Amino acid sequence: MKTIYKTVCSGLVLLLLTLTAQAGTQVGAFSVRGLEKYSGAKLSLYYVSGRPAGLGTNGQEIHVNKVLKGPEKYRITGDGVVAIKSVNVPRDGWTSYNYLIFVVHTQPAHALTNPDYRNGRVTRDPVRYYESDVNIEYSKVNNSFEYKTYKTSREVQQGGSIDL
Amino acid sequence: MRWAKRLKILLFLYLLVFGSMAQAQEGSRFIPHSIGVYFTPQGQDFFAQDLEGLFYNNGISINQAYFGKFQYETQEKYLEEMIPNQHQLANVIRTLREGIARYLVGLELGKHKFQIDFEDLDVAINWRELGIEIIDPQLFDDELESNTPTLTMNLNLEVDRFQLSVGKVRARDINHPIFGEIGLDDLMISMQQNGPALYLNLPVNFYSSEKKGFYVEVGTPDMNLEALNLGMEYRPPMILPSVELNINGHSITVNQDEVELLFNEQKEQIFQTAQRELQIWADENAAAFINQVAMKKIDSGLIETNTMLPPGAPNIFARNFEWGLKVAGIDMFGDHLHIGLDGFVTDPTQSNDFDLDQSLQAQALPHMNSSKLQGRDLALSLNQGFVNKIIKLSSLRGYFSHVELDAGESIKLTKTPVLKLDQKKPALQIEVEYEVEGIQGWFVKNPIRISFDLMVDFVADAQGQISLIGRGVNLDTVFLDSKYIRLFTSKVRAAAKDEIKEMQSDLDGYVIMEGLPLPDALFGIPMIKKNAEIDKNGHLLIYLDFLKY
Repeated sequence: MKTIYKTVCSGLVLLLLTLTAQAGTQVGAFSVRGLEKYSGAKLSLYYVSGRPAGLGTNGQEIHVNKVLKGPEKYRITGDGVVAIKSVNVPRDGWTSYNYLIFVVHTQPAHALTNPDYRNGRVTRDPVRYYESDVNIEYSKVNNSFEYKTYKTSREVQQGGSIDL
Repeated sequence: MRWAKRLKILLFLYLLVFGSMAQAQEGSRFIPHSIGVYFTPQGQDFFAQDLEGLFYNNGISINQAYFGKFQYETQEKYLEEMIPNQHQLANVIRTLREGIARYLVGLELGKHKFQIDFEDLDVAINWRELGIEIIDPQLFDDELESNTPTLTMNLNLEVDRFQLSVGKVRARDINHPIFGEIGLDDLMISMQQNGPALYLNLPVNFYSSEKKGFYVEVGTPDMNLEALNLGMEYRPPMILPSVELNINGHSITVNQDEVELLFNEQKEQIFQTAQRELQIWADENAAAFINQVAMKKIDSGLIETNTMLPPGAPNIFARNFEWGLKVAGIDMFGDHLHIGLDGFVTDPTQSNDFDLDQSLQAQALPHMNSSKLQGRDLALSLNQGFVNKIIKLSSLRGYFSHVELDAGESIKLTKTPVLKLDQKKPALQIEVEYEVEGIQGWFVKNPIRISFDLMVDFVADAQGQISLIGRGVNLDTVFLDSKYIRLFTSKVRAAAKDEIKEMQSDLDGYVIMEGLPLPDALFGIPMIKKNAEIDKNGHLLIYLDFLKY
């Protein structure tokens, strides 16, 4: 009986995994608050597969395996609240969508980068995008930002609001 | 058994370390054993309980993968060359090709280059076992040889359900477009329920030597690919090329239904052949292949870089420091798994980096007391040199130029504070500037600078924050340079010491820095600091527990 139960459950899990694979993850609409001081600036939102630092400290960045959706671009208005629309985050290979990265910037486009290490020094490398048509030229200007933070996908609830 | 602790943590570490870290180059200002991580058996179990969640936190899905479009191209070869260890069949194909070339005009068979397109490729895996058996080889060898590994890890994987589904497969020979395409729709390959589970056992040995440094060697994998019972289904009909022969105006076509029937009759044999070839490859070449890939990275070192908010920064908008860690060794410390990490930290706003004086770094590995680890998940050791480099960088930004006191007063620091934990009385060595007032001021050249050791301790609170606490001044270290003294040198120095003596009671228990910016998560798992102590070899030891997340 136990074996049958396990077999059925395993089969269902596999079936569910298969069914959800192509659909990706639907992330409901939510809002962000606390950006009053950046009124008029732009907010670029990245839905990514990423990993935190091996040893997490204040000021750590999420190392982006791949940007699965975005950047979604918004304008920050006077009240510092931004309504984020619902999106579908696609699945890609062995990655899982697990972080959202919020970047406030004033230049027209923002280029997300990862810290890397080459030739004895830390470098900034452009991240990879799932959507092949995303083509943000990497430059010092495009890499600059006013404020950057991240949230885990579990922190974002449909219809909820989060403080940045 | 004590020596053979089943771990899942190392699989995770292995994939992260070897899968995604950048390669280190020469010339880095690494501080040896900047950080040591000691996983207790309890901490190892914590990892093992939710390996899937742990991978998810790091952006990796281990039970499912999806590829919208995927293309594979074979190397350019004659057909018979693509069939290894099948000499008889290869000879038949070769003879057939030569016959076609001789007797048929208009069909030239050269080297083939197959291109296969997959669409909507979906993989689902159910892991029955996903773990690692750790063996401390040092416990077996009475006389250790120079090539004894510091740690042996047996990677054990077992899959009891596997399903590969592909919406559309199309294959073509791009060197012979005349053949058109063959393909299948809604293809599904899965392990049969009555068949054996797929298992893989892979031994991995970790070494550390003065000559070669840290390196890894993978042994021959033990797996049962050939024994798997795989099933295949697809939505008929097969996509086949249309073949038509014309003999004296009479058209002859290939019966596609019969070809498809033949394929279905033979598919089991096709699977068996493919499984056998894969098994042979795994037995003969997999270890060499994995070693080659792994050593390419490990040979030149591995480093993970990230950023940290500089200690003392006025706000979170300060430009972050950049830091990196390199795996320098993995071994066992009793029952505890120890990972040694060399580290560096730099300030991107400074054009030139600098080496930290050797005397400011720990000169030996931490003297870890196993009993202190009892009941905890893990411990971290922080080399005083790593901490001193961070303090120095913050000082260069002016963050530690003043120490705020109560009642709005502050002391000016004229030198970068230095943390010295490897001395009898662990202390923060500081130099302060002071304005002597009143009649006493006549005997000195104001402002004077006094250096001394402020003895310190590290204390954890109930919220898991560790603070740096003053334990009074070591009066033997109080020094006032004669260049600041006009008259009565010995009396002035004695007076300065008396002045500090009066402050002793205030400084004992004085919170120098509340909530030190120490690591608060490991691979995304939050940790709470339970205790801290100073190691006489020059390390700060922090004992931690993981938090449920």
